[in-house]
Formats: sequence, C-alpha cells, structure tokens
Amino acid sequence: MGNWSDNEILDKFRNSETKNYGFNLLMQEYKQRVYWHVRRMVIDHDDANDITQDIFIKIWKGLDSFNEESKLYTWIYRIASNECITFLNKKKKMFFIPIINVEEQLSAHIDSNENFSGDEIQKKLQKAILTLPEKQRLVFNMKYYDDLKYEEIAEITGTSVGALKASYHLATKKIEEFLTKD
Amino acid sequence: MSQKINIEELKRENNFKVPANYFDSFENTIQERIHAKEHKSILFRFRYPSIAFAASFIAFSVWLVNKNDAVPTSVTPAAIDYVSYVNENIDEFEDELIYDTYTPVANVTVSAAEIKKIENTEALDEYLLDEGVDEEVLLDEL
Repeated sequence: MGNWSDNEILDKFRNSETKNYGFNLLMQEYKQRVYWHVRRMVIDHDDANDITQDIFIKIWKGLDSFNEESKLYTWIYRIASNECITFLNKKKKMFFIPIINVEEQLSAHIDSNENFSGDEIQKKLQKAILTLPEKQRLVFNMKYYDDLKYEEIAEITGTSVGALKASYHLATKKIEEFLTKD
Repeated sequence: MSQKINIEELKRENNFKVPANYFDSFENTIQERIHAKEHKSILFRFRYPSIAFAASFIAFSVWLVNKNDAVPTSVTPAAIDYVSYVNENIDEFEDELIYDTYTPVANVTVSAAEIKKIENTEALDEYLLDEGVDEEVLLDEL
C-alpha cells in the first residue's frame, strides 16, 4: 500500500485495458481512510460498510470526469462527507426521529462491546463528539483524527480556513466541557 | 470538583471494531457490485427493446402514412434515427427520460400501473443481483 501515486492510479484507470486494475489500486489506497472517516460519523459498522461501498461505486462512476482541479483524496473525502451527511439526514427524516434520539442511538452503539473496545475516557470522548452538529463533527474528525490541514479541509468542505479554525476551536471547547462534567 | 481534560493530551486511538478480515475482501465486493450493475444495464437492453421497437414501429408507420403530405409531420426520419440512437446507447439515459421521451413522440401510452410494474421489476432485479442471486436464473425469468 502507498506505492502508487494518485497520478499513476489515474493513468491506470484511464487506460481501458488497466481500468479495473487502476480502480483496485485506488481502493487499496483509500478504502481504510474512507471507511474510518464514515465510521466515525455513523458509528455502526453495517451502516459504515454500506455507505463506504456506495462511495466507491460513486467514485467508479465519477472518476472519468474527475478534472484534477482538486487532489484526488480531497475529491474522495468530499464524496464521503456528503454521503455521511445525506445518510444522517435520511435517518432523521425517514424514521421521523428527533435529532436527540439519533444521537442517543449512535451513543448506544459506543456502549456496545461489539462495536467499541476503548476505555471509559475514550467512550466518553466519542459520546462528546456525537453531541456536535454533524458538519462540525466532520471538521473535528478530519482535523483531530485524520490530521488534515485546514487548507485541505477547506477544499473538502468548501468552507473558509478562518471558519474552520473557529469551528474546531468551538468543538474542542464543547468536548472538553462534556468530558469534564460528571 | 472534576479535573479539566485537554483533548490534545488524550491518545488518538481508534477503538471501533470491524469484523475480522473485513478489508481483505473489500475490492472484490465492490468489483462484484460494479459488474452486477453493468450486467443489469444489459438486462435492461434485453427487456426494454420491446418498448423502443414499438415506438420505432409506430413512428415509422406514422411517417409512412404521412410521407406524401405537403405539410411535414412531427415524425421524420431524423426522429427514427433518434430512436435508434437512444436504443443503442440506452445506458447513457436515465430511465425516466426514456419513458418521457418515447411516450409523447410516438404517442405510445404507458399507464401509470405499467410504469410502476416496470420500476418494481427493475428494483427487484437490482435487489436480487445485489443479494447475489444467480444472473442466469434472472435471465431465465425474462
């Protein structure tokens, strides 16, 4: 993994004889990053699996028209982020669940040993992250866990760097308050 | 009093669990889905030429009847070429667009119930393919 540059992957994909091979290389390179990005948003493995598969199907369909104005991974992260937001919005609308209940439902997954193996402070950290609005949660995860630069997150979310810094700062404060209270 | 926690000092662990070897089979799963969808497009071609053929036939008949009229009709050889082009490149068009386009041009009336039936059959095909039902079995059902 990691032996192929994005340009090499794209070259392989754009050659009809090596298209499938190129796409397999892309999946090898990005499947874990995409999955974990999605998993942190939707918490449940089955949902994350379905969404991650749909994301790669979309990438397959859209990669021919990828114009390289952005980097490949920011394009992929953008698709993944949109899919997560769409999924969470659908979950609320289709089942008429108020926001608080979706949070509680996701929070319950963190308490399940089948889903999560961390200690109490890690569980509480995940629950604290779940209290953030979805877009703030996306930004927080990309900065805190994926260690993306603000400029990269700006490209993914279409938000200014200044707004992202403010969002991350606020998110950090909220989470620390949540962790500090009993 | 609770001690203030600084999240920058916490370990950035990934504690979510995934099934064993989940990532190993990921590429195969996606490739299977992609090829199942492509095969579904082929099924669509097998199933819907009847609609396209009926539309083409009616369009051609209308053109034939009116070919000696002084006033050109709305159905011309170009329209027939269009039908052929759509039929040959069916994958490039959304299903709804095909229904909408064929129906007014050729005056073919497809009832809402029939459209619903077609949509249900399509959704069923896709569902069955996604569930791993043998494509040969589906083809036999056509």
